[in-house]
Amino acid sequence: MPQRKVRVRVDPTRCTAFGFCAEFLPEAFALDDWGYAWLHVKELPAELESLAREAARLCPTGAISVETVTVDAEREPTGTERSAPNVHPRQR
Amino acid sequence: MAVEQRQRATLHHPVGETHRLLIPGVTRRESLMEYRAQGGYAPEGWAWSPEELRDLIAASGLRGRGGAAFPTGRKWHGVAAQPAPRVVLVNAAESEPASAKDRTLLLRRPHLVLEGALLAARAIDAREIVLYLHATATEVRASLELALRELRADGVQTPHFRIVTAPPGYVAGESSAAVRRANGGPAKPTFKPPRPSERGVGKRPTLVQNVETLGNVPLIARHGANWLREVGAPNLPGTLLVTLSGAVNRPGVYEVPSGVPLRHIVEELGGGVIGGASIQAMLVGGYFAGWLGPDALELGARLEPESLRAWGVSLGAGAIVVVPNWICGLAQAAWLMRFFADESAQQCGTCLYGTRAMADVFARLLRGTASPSERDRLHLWAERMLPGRGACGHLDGAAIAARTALEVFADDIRRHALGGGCGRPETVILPGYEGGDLDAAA
Repeated sequence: MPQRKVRVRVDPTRCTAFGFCAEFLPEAFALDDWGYAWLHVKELPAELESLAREAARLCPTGAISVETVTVDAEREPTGTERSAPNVHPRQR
Repeated sequence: MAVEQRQRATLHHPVGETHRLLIPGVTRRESLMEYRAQGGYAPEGWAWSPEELRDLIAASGLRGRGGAAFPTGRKWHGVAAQPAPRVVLVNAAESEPASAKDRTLLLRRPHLVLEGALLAARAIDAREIVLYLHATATEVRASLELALRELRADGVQTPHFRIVTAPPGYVAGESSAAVRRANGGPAKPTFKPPRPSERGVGKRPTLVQNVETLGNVPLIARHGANWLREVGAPNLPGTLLVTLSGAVNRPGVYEVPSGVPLRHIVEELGGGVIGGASIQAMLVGGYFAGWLGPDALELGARLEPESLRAWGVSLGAGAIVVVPNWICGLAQAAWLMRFFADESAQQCGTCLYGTRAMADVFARLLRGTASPSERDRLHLWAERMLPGRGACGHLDGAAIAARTALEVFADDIRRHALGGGCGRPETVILPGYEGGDLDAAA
């Protein structure tokens, strides 16, 4: 049965390391060693769509884009495939 | 990857230079008249409809020769599926310092490349062809401009041609950078989507194609879908133009069947290492495709994607640089990291800072002053934090250069860490090196 997923992207040419996204939505965003947005998942569950869109609105340079896609539920979820930073931003 | 797996990836392959794009023994420029005498613009190459041409190229197995090796026919179909009008951009920038194959083809056989571009334009119904090159490539530009005049004088009907030049710079050769420059902007990559095939020159769907790829097209159009597969490896049929440089007796551009053992290129064609010295390391695909250790050569690594992937590198631009054992290998690697830092377009913060950070650690590895935590951080950057995070592939190239250097030059790193270096000169032999500091400007 098809599922709705939220696909988030960061335009690295626009990101200026403001850091709001990682504070607001650590499920999707961390910051790299230089403070730039590090998207550590490819897709988010549908429940996080409104938060994702809020994160995109909060970004002062409009670097974040959000789209919803419908994917085949039998396909492996890609949310855990990307590398994840070891430290949760709130722990710093 | 285990040695046994790498050995399984090798096969015996016939050796020798195979001339299909280049004409053996001919290094001067071929005129339009000479090109026609060689079969150029033969009517059988032009009898195909646009869709038949696209199918023909797809069936031939031709893959791009600019670095990504993307199936050319699929690319043509993709652009042709986008709304008209469409554009062909001939990428003659060849920004990779270790590569000279494209300029060699354009200086010797410009008409082969132009007929390829014209056939591509026919296949996707393009009304404009952009010829993109560096402003410093004055000889190549002259060869192309003369070729265009020859075509006009001969009454050949063509779409509109436009020459677009870019200032020097490594990232200028990237497809979206070429498009951006053709649109009057800086020669710097853009974030995708949209890709050039969707929105490119003048916001129109644009087919960006490498010079060597286009050089194959007229020959396929004339000889048919099976022609390319007569030579080379099944997964990358045809010949490859390779640039051989570094400490070899006969550096230069050679045309070989894909799948040929690297050893053959270095020893038979290149005449072996100067002075009979042993090889310390090699670049195979150019600056962005990774370092290779000497055992790859011994164990029969071949110039085709699967074999090279098994060795942790890629074919890239087919630019081979041989580093001998009598110079400091770590110095070569450190200079390459500084090159990546200096050549960043500086549009993405992570690339700007990440390439500099890696170059700084390599400079300290060279001096033996890098701390263990710095080395750990370097691994983390190169393996996890940096890959895939730039708007273009520059950051990936830097990360691959770092990862493979840490492996290939591990012994040298250990020696330098003990203090006093490795006792060898830190001369840099990588092409494009113009002197300069391995340490960042203060």
